[in-house]
Amino acid sequence: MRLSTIRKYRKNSKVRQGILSVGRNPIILLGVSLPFVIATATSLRNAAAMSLEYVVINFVTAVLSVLIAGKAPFWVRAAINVGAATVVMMLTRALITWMMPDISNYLGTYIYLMALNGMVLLQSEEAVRPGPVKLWPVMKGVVINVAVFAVMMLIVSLPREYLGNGTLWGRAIPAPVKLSGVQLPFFGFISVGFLLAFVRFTTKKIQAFGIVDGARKAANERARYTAIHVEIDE
Amino acid sequence: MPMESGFSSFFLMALTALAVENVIFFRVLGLNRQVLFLKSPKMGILYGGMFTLVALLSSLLVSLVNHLLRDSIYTSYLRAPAYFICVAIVYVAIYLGTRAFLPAVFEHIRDILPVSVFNTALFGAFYVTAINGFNIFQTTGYAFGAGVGYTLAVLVVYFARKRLAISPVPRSFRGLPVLLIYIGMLSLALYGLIGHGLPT
Amino acid sequence: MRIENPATAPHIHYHENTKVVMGDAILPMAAIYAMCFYYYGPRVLLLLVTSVFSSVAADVLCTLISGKRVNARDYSAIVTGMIIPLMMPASIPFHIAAIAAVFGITIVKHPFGGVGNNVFNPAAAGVAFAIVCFPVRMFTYPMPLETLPVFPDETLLQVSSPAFTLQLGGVPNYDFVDMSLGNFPGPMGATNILVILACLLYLVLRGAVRWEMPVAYLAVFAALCWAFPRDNMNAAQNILYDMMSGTVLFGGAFMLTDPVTTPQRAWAKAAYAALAGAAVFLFRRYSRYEEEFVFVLLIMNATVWGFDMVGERIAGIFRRKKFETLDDKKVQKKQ
Repeated sequence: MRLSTIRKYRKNSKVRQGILSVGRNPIILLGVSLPFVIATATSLRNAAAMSLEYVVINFVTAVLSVLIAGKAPFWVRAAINVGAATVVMMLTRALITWMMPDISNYLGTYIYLMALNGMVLLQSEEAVRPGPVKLWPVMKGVVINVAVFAVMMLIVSLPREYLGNGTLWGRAIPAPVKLSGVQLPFFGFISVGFLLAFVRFTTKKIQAFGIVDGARKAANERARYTAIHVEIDE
Repeated sequence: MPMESGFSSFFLMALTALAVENVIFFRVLGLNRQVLFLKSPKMGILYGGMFTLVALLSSLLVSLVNHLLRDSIYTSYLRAPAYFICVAIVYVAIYLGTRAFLPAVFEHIRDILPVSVFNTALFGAFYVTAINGFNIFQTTGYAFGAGVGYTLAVLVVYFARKRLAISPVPRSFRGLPVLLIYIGMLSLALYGLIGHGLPT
Repeated sequence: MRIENPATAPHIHYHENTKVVMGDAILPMAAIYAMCFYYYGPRVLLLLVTSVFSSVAADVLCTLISGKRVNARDYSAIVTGMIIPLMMPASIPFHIAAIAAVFGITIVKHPFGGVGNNVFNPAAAGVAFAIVCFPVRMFTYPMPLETLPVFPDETLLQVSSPAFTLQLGGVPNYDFVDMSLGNFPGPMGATNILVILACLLYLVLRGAVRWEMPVAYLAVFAALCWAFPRDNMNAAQNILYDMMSGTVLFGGAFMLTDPVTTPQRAWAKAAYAALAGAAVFLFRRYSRYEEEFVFVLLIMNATVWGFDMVGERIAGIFRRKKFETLDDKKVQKKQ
């Protein structure tokens, strides 16, 4: 096989692996932090506020979990993480209330409860892997996780706001029908379930395409090599 | 406060928290990995029982905090850290207490204690008691009801998973997605029957 | 794990073939639609067409997306499409019936495995969704024997049904003859009490529905109504009013008895129907909406698997007892 083809395939497969790693993070596989997507992704503004809070809290607790990794037993680490998340949450809540004063009425206690989301506990658990815990891989993971969360909130809240309220970002937009039941939690469960199924479907297709594509490329290479070999033999 | 009305408000609040504002089906709280991928009903009862115990004990402290913070201007800033401290006290007490005096029990609960304590369902119940200004009987009743409702809902989710495991679900939906859709349908049905009290 | 054609009970699949579905579900409902056409005019047929078209289109689309072959002989989507408008007012806008049908098929039928594998009844789920989204429009009904315009406007007289009166604690002012003939406002298909009872008899005689189910359901419901009558009427009045208003009878005949979402053994079916009757009675008194049958049915559908599992255990115990006593008798005969 030619080296240039190997290099191209490896680069493509890295891109593909990068795309596929999105489908392998804890939010999609384990359902971490899903309650917030289900309950609060009812309008774009809510989604934006909750995503902002999620980003801030997770970055801070990720850094903290790296700092205290291995220095305390798990049960203490969990408590420290949640405590730090609570403090960060209060600051972020102040920021969000200042930016969007009316948001607290809709979101109510969910802004407070974000300090206890599953990712905070997961980070204190993950810091128990063997070997030294490095900051950069943890940060890469956090970036992917919060990006997935924010995108999920956006995708779930867009139809829920449009169909449920006839608005987008609080501004009225002509909608064919107004289904008020879409903003209830049960529809959140259903839409998140469908979204997860769609993500799994797409990642499987990408994976299958990769396998098929790679196999086709390998077969082409083999055919070319065989043809040359046959030529030389003759 | 007369004890009879205290006990009746305890049970009334417990019933409200169990049914009308069920933690999983209406308020969508406390759905973590342990609940969604529960290993056995016994584990579910242990997890829910642990949660109910912690809820009951920390609700005593929380009602004290509510009483103290009721007239303060810094309420919204102090409430979250204060609740965290209350729960942390109970958490540490249970952890160290069982480790020292009840080692057999400690072995069972060691892994699930952090997850069942630092749970959105627990703190969610406390915020409800704060917003509505409950007294001590109502607070403890609500926390107890939330715990029992949470345990029942966890068992329902477990049996839902068992039911869906023998169904030819399409491959993309297998596992978590179809479980969420199932819970959503139950939430719809319960909403139509019992309804949902709070806006949050 | 995929189960392909399980040979032993409890069966999850119910293979509906054409003749069974055609005869057993569509014909009785066609009779009910004929009565609705008599009471409300041609709009009823337009609603039927809209609903059936939406559910079949959704079914075909979902089948194609999931990579399966479209089975032209599968009439389950048509049955769903026929049931949904019968639980709605005759003046309901067409898009609501269509939305309910699409919701039922795409969200409740296909993610759980498609035909024969759905856990929840798609028609009940669709109607439940419509009730939650449009509570006012789903519970205001036109008066019967007035031909409805195709697109009714605000000038159409719309009233509440006897179920609403009962929920408020009043006594409906329709007499029993009118109620049994369907001459009172209510869900389109659920008011024709005599026709529904005739269809139920037909289904039982055809063998599509085991007699234990409707008998257990109605007996338990009637017994509870008799034991705990409402405040301002006697037991007999309560039984008749509660059974004739709303979807209690219609649901018990067509939706509770759906073979895919019921237990397998006959006595498990009876126990299931009895529990459903008790639940419907309870929530008729204490639920937030005047029509609670669809929500109760969804919850009962979730418990079917429990009935099957417990039923198999109990049947196993009885089987073992039978074999044990059989052995004893054989030994005694030899001696």
